Amino acid sequence: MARMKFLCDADRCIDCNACVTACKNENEVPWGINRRRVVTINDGKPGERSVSMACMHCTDAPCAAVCPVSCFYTTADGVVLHSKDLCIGCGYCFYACPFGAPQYPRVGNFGSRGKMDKCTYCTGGPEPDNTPLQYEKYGANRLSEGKLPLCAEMCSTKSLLAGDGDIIAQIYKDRVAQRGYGSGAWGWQTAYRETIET
Amino acid sequence: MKNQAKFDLVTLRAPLDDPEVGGDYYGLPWPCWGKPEFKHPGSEILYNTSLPVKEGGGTFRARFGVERNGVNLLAEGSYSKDSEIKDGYPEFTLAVLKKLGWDKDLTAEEMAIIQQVNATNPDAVSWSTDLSGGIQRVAIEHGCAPYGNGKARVIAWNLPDPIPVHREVIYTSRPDLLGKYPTLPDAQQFRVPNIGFTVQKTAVEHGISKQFPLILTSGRFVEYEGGGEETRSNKWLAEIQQDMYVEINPADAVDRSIRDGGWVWVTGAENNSKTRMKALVTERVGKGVAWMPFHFAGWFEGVVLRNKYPKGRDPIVLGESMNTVSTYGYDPATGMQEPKATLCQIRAE
Repeated sequence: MARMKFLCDADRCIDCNACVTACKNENEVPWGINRRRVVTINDGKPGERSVSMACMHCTDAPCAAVCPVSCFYTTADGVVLHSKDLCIGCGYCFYACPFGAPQYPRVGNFGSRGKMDKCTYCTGGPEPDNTPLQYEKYGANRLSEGKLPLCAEMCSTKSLLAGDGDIIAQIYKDRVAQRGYGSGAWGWQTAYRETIET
Repeated sequence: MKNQAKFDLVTLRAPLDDPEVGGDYYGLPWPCWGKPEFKHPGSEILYNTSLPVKEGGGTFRARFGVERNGVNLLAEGSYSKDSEIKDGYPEFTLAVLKKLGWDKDLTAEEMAIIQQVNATNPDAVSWSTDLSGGIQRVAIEHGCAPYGNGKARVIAWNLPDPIPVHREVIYTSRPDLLGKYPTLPDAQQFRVPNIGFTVQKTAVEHGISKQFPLILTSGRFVEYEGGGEETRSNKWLAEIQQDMYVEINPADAVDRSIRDGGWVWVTGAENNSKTRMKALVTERVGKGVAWMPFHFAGWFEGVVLRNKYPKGRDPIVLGESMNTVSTYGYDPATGMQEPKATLCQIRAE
């Protein structure tokens, strides 16, 4: 089984937001909610960098560790998913997540939150694959159709890579070797407890 | 996209033996000569004399005549592979084919169409007006490029500046440079007068650059296509940038007590124009320069005009249009409006 990961090559990201737009369109993510976003640091200054961020589908995910109702599970492909039937919207996962991935589309009275929503690696959720019910709750299920997440597929500079961790790490390594520089696989140490030696 | 996988990633060419796209270059890049039955593969590199024209090779287009001031403008000693003419040649017309004795290669149907295109003077029908595709076909069968084989040129004698020179923008922040680098004299261009010189001179006489000391230019969001009206009607893209804004350097912002994200009025050098938008204080623009995106519309001088849109056709987000504060200027060669660089003043609301 493959271990699916995301890798954003920050030396290539041009902040075009194609990943964000692709994600929103594919998964019908409402206005104000971002499963994926592009974060730019040092905006307008020398050394400006942009990184596309979403749920990284961590190894031993911290969201799962803190969830009081154990709604998280990891698929055979290494994708971290959750059940919106079990989620109580407590927000613990939001505090635990190092990437700011969990989103809460509904607001309730007295600051209570609705069910958590996040990147599913275009893998749907616990409902049967590619059913309207699954789409309505979790969005697209491209992985079951043999396709990768649309954000990475749409990336205009192929900065954002999705796929088996070993394969995308090799692509990144080859890239860095050829061009002679690389600022590292951003977030990999935090998410996967490993770095890509280049 | 059915055949996409067949194309080589480096040569961009499909294998020669493929039944459907054999030998084609990906996307059939221009020029892809002749009628579909001619099955030209497209020309991946425009100037490539190492291939026959029939296989995607090409010469330099003989675009500027054959001779100027007694100098030959056609290629000399250079021609594409397998060309039967081992030298430069003009673009192909029926007259050229006749001179070479190649007109007999045209089919009767092709000849009939050429006669129809220009019944009074069929000799003048060229590769570009011949609807039969015959002139292109015959030229290429003899190894020649239909548009001729000429030399490149450095001096564009038919343009106002045959060799580009620096000319100060109409509304310049450096009036001291106008003595040396004025814009072109007023002239009638196409159907309209271009009075750029008068406008430039008048602006200096009125001290416009003192009233409007900031250079103003505009640009595109990387996630947008087009002017914005369509893009701002797309809910996913409209969400990414919801406010019209002007970028201003921290030094200029401090002088004007402008806060990052605060409302400002930007005034333009013509017609007492004014626009209201947010300020983005950033070092991305230099001191003395301001920048705006040109995608927004739907506000005018601070007034929201959403109710003026046809029902259901108003974009999701509105804002001031950059055009409101841009100024006079037309390119003398094309007549295209040139509002890219002008002057403005910005003050905090």
